[in-house]
Amino acid sequence: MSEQYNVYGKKSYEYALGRISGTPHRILTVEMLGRLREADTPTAEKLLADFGYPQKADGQSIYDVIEQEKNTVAAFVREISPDEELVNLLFFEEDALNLKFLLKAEKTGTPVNTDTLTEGGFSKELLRVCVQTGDYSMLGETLEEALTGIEAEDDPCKISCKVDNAVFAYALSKAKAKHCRALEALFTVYGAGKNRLTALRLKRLHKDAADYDFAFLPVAFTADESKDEAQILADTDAKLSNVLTDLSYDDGIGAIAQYYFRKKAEAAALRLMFAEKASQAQTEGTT
Amino acid sequence: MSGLSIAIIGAALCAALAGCGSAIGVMAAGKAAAGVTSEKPELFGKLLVLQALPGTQGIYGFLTAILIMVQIGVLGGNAVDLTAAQGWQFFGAAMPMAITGLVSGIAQGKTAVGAIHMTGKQPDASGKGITMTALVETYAILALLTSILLIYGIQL
Repeated sequence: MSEQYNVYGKKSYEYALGRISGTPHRILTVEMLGRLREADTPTAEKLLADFGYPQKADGQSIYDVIEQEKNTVAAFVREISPDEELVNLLFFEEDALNLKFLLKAEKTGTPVNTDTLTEGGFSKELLRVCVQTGDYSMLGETLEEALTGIEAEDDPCKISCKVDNAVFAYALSKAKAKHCRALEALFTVYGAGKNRLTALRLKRLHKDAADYDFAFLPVAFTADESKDEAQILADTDAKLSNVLTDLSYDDGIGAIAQYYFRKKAEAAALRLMFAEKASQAQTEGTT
Repeated sequence: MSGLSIAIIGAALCAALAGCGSAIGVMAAGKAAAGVTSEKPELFGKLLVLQALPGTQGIYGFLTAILIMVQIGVLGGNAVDLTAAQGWQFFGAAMPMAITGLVSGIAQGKTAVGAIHMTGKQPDASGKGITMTALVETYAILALLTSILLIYGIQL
């Protein structure tokens, strides 16, 4: 029953969303997160296992467990999704990370074992070959145009920004080309949010945003200079949360994207929570 | 076209359209139920009820078609010689069930999909899901009653 159904030549979103409804890899509720936050580290680790996360094996850290759950969810999302092209777009951050890693390794002459890279939308081997040959034509026109000649760039910061921009622009254009309004809305809000955070960081560093146009994703945004930092952060967070909530009412890839990004955010929140607990325990130990 | 032909087309459309509505509804609910069952096989019994609910429109359409066939004597082998006006009256009488059967079958299927997803997340809420899905049935029942009353109201 784990095989995706193929009815009249079209795979079904009803089936995929049914799998998400019944999956043991559920999104943690606010109440669950609250209980985890209040518990000490050993209790929180036990609670996490009760909430459906894998049991911590010998020699594993809690971060390995969180990563394992994230990878399981990513594999699950790929397995159930009826549209391979669209689901691959959800992994644009992983693709950007892999490309940056491979490009910087190539520049420094460091050998890379692609097994250590995260699974993205593009095959890791394909990315490695593209970086080694400097030929990005196999990644499509948008990426080829944006990435050709990137090996000549020496500034690692510019390399990172160019790759982020290229991969994001590719994902957004692909969502538009496939008339996927759900992903288009998600990527637009994500891009605008990232840009607001970039503007905020530049302001903190007393840099002029005009000198760093390469650091902004190709999405319109308002810098909200009248608002203070806390307001901007809260506003950005609320906008992303709202778009994800809207996606949960979608009966297509939107609901799958919502599930995946919420689980991804959950993993980030858990990592932060356990790091905070470890740091607190360390401080208490020293004092 | 003879009155009998028009009445037969009405009966056929009624069974076909309501049947299509049910088939689409049951298919959508079935796909959702298959997804949930693959993760939680123990929910099969609860989900089967939800999947079956959009199937009733097809039965109502079939029943309406049979009633028309009985009235015009097609089933007994002694077909009544209907005027064109009487034929159109039977055709019109079949339409409430035909159209509502098609639309409500699909609508109930969509509601069943939502209820199945809800049951996947909260198995104890399956009763609520069944109630929500069954409410769509009301309009199919009203259409069935209308069609039956119209069929028996036609003077032969």
